[in-house]
Amino acid sequence: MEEFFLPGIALTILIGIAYLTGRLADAAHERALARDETLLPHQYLDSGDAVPEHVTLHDSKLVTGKVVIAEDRFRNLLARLRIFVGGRLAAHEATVTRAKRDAVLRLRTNAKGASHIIGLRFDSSELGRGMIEVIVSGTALYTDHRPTGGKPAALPDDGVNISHRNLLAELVSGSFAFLLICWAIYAASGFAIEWAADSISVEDEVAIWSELEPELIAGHRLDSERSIPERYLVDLINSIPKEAIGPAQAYDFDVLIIPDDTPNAAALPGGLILVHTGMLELVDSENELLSILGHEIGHYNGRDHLEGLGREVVGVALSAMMFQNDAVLTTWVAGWPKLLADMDYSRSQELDADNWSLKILMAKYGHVAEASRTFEKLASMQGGHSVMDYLATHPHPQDRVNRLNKMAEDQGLPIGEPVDLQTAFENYLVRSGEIPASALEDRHQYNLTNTGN
Amino acid sequence: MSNQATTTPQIPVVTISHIPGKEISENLGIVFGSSVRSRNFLFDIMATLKNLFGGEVRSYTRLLEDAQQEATDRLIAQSVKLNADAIVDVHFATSQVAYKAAEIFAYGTAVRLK
Repeated sequence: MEEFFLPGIALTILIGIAYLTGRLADAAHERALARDETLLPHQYLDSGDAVPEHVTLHDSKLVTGKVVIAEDRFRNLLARLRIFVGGRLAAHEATVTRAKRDAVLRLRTNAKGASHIIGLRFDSSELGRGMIEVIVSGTALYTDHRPTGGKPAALPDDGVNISHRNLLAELVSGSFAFLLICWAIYAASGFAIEWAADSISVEDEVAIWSELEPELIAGHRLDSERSIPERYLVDLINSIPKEAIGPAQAYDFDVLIIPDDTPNAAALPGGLILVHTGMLELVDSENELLSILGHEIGHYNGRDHLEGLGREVVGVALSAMMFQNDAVLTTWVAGWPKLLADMDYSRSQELDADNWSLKILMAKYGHVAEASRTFEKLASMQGGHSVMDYLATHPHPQDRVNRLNKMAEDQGLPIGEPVDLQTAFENYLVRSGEIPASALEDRHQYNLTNTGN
Repeated sequence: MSNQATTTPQIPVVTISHIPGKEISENLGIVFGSSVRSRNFLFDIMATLKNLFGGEVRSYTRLLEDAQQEATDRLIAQSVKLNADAIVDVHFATSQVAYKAAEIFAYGTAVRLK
């Protein structure tokens, strides 16, 4: 959650600053233009090439006026949103109009003393992102004619060329339309991904993943050997009665322990389950540990690991298409509709996986003790419900505790004595011949997180 | 855009330096009309696909038509403010102000006719 909100807050502050500085820069430029325009004497500006009659021409020369104006980030964001929805870019209009006014002003300053500037030609282009270049050229005519009249020749009029809209209101409406469209695309692609994930067979998945897996594991394992705790976890999974595992029994499960203090576990394609050491430290009994592993196996049954991957790919592809190389915006703005679309979907996935966890515990131990123990611990770490829960992709742990307990009660599942994790691990060590039974004298020499290697 | 077109009185707009059959009495100076527009993402995607196969990108042709119409309307609106009777020596310039957004810029000389 923090990784989503912190950039958001930072971006909001930056865009807020950009909005303020942009407004100040606009106002300053506007004032400077208005002041300098009144200082210039009257001149005839003509886009035609004809030299005026009835004047004596003394001299003529080429004059140009150039200006490059950068837009603030706020207008840039606004324009991006508007381009997506389509229509008039009010944010850009003000900038391009001011750029032209300034270019004309510079042209006229360069043509000081000339009564006419004829054959005016404009050209403009985008120099870089949000930088507009305007060049105006013409021929200054120095004549005996002195133009009269209080007002200078007609200047670009902001009242006509700029759509006067409240930029903040534009930001809100633009963002809303953008979110809606992204959400619709993303939700629609979700169905396609679900279909695709269901049609990939386990064999194909394993075959594809086997190309990538060794690389991932190499960073964590020496000589691609499983560590003793990893062997224990794989042994634990293999000890579950096959029929309880469901469709996921086609996988040859592997467990990789990652040294990370956050209590977490994840299901990767190809039957590789990641378990953080923080999770191993959190659990106290083998039953509790199996409830976590059973939950991950449940994800394989739902093909959630592939769908999650697919959604990630679609999310990145969509945002890359819409924002090109704007990395911060890409990940953040496009993250919102993705989050909204993922929320419902991901929560139901988690609950389905919880169901499998309960079923697997029941099959292995004949009772469901400690099925919700980890969630209880997580709930007490996380605290009560908060506003953030509405945006979470996982249900609140306390809700899951209540749900699991109610399910066990409704189905009349028995609750027995949990198996102590330390004892279970030591038993495994002796059974598998890792250590002789006599080595267990010093009881805490071997534990899961501080391996007995 | 169309609102503006209907409320703006139509005056002659030409790319040559005179209105045929009329005489210019006064030069009111240069006038501008600009428009920055974009199509929406669906057209952008279609245009990207068109880019693969070649051919006219109709969605962007339409974008330029709309922008050109609006720029001309704004050019006229500005001239009417100066009580001009016609606009001569009109030129158009176009640029890509932002990715997938086009600016059309019209400029000419507002004149009063005899």
